[in-house]
Amino acid sequence: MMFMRKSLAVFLTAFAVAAPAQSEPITIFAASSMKTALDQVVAESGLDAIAAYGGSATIARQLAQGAEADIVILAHNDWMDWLEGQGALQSGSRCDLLGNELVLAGPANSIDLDLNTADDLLDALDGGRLAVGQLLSVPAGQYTAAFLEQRGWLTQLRPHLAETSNVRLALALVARGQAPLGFVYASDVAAQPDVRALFKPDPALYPSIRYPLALSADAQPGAAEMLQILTSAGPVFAQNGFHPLPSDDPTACSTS
Amino acid sequence: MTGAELAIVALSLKVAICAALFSLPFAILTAWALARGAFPGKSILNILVHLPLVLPPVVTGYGLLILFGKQGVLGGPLEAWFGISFAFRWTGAALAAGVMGFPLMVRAIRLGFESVDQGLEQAAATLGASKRAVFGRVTLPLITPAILTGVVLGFAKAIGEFGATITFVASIPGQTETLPSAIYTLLQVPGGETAALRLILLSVAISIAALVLSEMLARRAAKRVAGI
Amino acid sequence: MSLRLDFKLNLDGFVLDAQMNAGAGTTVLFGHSGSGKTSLINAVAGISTPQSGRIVLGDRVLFDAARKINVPMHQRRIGYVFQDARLFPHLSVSQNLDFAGRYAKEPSKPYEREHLIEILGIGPLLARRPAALSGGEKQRVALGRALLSKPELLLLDEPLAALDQARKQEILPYFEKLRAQNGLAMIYVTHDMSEIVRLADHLVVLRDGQCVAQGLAEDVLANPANIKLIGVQDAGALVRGVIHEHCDDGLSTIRLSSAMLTVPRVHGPVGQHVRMRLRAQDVILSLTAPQGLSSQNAIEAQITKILKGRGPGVAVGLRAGSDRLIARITARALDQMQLKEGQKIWAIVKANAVPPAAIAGG
Repeated sequence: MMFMRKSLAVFLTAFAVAAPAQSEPITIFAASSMKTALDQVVAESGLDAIAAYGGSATIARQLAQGAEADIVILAHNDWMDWLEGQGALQSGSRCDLLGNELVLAGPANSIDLDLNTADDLLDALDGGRLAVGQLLSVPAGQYTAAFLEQRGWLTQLRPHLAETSNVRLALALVARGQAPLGFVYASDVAAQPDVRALFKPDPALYPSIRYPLALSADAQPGAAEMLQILTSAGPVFAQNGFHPLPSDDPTACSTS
Repeated sequence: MTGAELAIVALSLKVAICAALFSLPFAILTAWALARGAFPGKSILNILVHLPLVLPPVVTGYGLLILFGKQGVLGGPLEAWFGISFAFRWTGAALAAGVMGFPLMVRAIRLGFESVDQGLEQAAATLGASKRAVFGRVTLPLITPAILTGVVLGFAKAIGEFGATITFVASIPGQTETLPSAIYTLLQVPGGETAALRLILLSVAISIAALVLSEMLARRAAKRVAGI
Repeated sequence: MSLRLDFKLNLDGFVLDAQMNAGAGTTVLFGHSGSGKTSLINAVAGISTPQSGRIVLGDRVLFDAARKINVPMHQRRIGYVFQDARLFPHLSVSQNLDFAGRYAKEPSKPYEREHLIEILGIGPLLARRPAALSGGEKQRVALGRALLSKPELLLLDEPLAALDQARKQEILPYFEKLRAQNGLAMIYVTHDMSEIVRLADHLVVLRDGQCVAQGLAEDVLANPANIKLIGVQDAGALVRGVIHEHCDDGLSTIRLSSAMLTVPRVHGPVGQHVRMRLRAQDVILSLTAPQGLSSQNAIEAQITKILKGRGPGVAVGLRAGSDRLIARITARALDQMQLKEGQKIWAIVKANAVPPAAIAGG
C-alpha cells in the first residue's frame, strides 16, 4: 500500500513538473495593417505561433490589462510609449521592426494624380469623401493628418473626410467605390488588387512611419526565437509593400 | 456640456429615433407574417431577420456596404430613382442602427401577435369588419404594449450601435459620429478616458430614461388593453 | 329570412354532416356537448369552412363547395353572440356598440340604438370597460352589439351557459323580447331544454354530428320517436294554453284545449297565452279516471302512437283535444295494461312537474 501511494505521488509530481515544459503557442498582437504579411511570416516560420490583429489602441489596452501576448507590434509609437509607461513591456526589448509609406489610393483602373493644391484633391474627389483612419487615434490617420497639415490642406479637406476606425476599413471603402480616394499604407495597396496608389505624399512631410515591436513583460522564453524570425523576415514584408528599415537605422531591430 | 457634445447627443437621438420609427412598420409586417403566415420560405425569413442579432456587427456593416453602398445592389437604384443616399450621411447611420435593432423589435411584436385572442378577431369579423379593419382596430390596439416594448428595444439598440455604423458610414462629425462612435474615438487616444467619461454617463442616462419611459408607457397600455 | 344548409365538415376527426332548413323566427339547435352544435354555427358564420356542400341564407349563397363560393365572414351579415361574449377589452361598452354600427350595412338610427340600449338595460354601463362588467352584463352588451350590426341572421352559442340560474332568469326575457319584436331570424344553440320552451319556434336536434330531427318545435317534441334522440330526461311535449285563474292557495289554472291544468302560481295576467313543456317521464297513464290521487291534473286523452324501444322504456304519443302529449312508461306497464293505439286513456301530471320556468308567455 505504501509503495502504491509513493509511486502515485512520484507519478503525479512528474506530471506536474512536466507540464510547464510543454509551452503555449507564441502569441503576437499586431496592428491590423500587418495582417497579410504577418500571417505569411508566421506560416513560413514553422513555429507554433498565432497572430491576433486589432487597432493599436485596443491592443495596447488589452495588453495593459493583462492579455497574454508575448510579442506586440503597433503601428504608432504613441501607444508603445504608453505601454512602456504602464510597465507592460520587457525593458530593452523595444525596437522598430518596419517602416511603411503613406499613399493616396484609388480604383485600380485610375490614372496617377498630380496634386499640388487642396483644390486639386477636392477636384479629384469630385463631391465624394476622402477615406482616412480617424485623425486623432488611428495611426494611418495620424500620419495623414500630419501630412495634410504640413501642406496646409487640412482645414479645407476636413469637411470632406470619412474617418474610419482602422485603416483596413478605409481601404475597403475605396475598394468598394464608396469613397473615390483614401489615404492608406503602401502595404495596404499591395494587399488589395482592386486599388492602386495614385499619389505618393512626400515622406518628408509626415513623421516617418514606424512599426515598433516589443516583448511583453511576461513573454515566454520561446518568444525570442519568434522575434529573430520577425527581424529577419524583411524580404517577406517588402513583398507585401512594407519598408524594411535599413540596418544602420538607430532604432531598427537588429538581427543579432 | 459643450456645444460639440450637445451636437453629438442630438445626432445620436435623431439617428436612434428615426431608426426605431422607420423600421417599425416593417417590423410589424414581418412579425405578423412570422406569427400568422404560412408560406414557403417562412423559416428563411425568420433566419434573415435574426442575422443582425447573431452576426458580428462589422459583418452586418459590411453587408450594408455591399447592399446599400454607392455601388450597392439596392443603393445604386435607390439613389438614382428616389434620391435616397446613405453614404456617409446620418441616413446611413439610421439604416445601420435600424437593421441592428430590427430583430429585437420583431421578436417583441411577434410575441404580441401570438398572444392576441383570435376569438376577438373573429367577433370583429362577424360584426362586418374586413381583415384590414380587424387588424387596424382590434389586433393592433391589443398589441400596443408589445409594440411599445419593441420600439424601445429598437431605440436602445440603435443608440448603442457602433460596429455596423462605423463600418458602413465611418465616423463623420455632424453626420455619423454618434455617441458610441465619439466615445470610441476618445478612448482610442492615450489618456482619453476622462474626456470620454462625460459622454459615457450621458449614454447611460439616455438608456435609463428610455427604459423608464417604456415601462411607464407599456404598463399604461397594458391596462388599457385589459380594459381596466 | 330562411337558412338552408347541407354540408360536411371535418374537424380533427369529428365529422359534422348537417342538413337544415330553418325558416324565419327562432330555431333552437339542441344537442349534448360534443354533438357539433358550435361547429355547425361556426360554419354558418364562416369561421370554419366545410369540405363540401352549400349554405344559403335567404337568396344569397354563402358557401358552395362545387362552385367554389365562400363568402368571407365580414360579408355574410350574420351576427354572432359568443358564449364568452368576446367584447373588445380595450374599448368601452359604448365604443363596442359603435364598432358594430361602423361596419353595419346600414347603420342604426340614433333612436334605434337608444331603444336597444333601453331594452337591454345597458344604459348605466355605457362608460364602463368590459373588465368591469359581470357575466350577465357582458352578454347583454354582446347581444346589443351583435344586433347593432343589423344582421340578417343572429347566431347565439349557448349565451346563458356561463351564467348561474338567477342571471339566466334575468336575461332570458331579453331574448324572448327579441323573438317577439324583431322578426329577426335567430339560431339559438343550447343543451338546456328549459330555454327551448321559452324561445323555440323551430327545433333542430343534433346528435354525434348529425341533424337527427328538425321541424316546428311542437312537432319535434310531440313525436314519440324523438324521445331517444332528445334524451329521456329532456323529452316532453309542448302544449299551449291560456291562464284561466290565479287561486289563493298558490296555484294557478291553465286552460288547455280540452282540459284544465293546475300548476304552481305563474306570472302573468289572466287571459295570457302560455306555452309549457310536460316532461314525458312526468306523465302517468291510467286506464280509468283517477280517484283519490294527490295530483290535480287528469287529462282525458287518446293514444296515437306506441313505440317500443330496445330498453325497458316505451314512448307513448297522446292527443287531448288539439294538444299533443307524450309519456314514457315501462314496457312491463304496457303489457300489463295492454295498451293499444287508438285507445282512450287518462294522462296524469303532477302540478309540480310544471314549474314556472317551464312556462313561457305564448
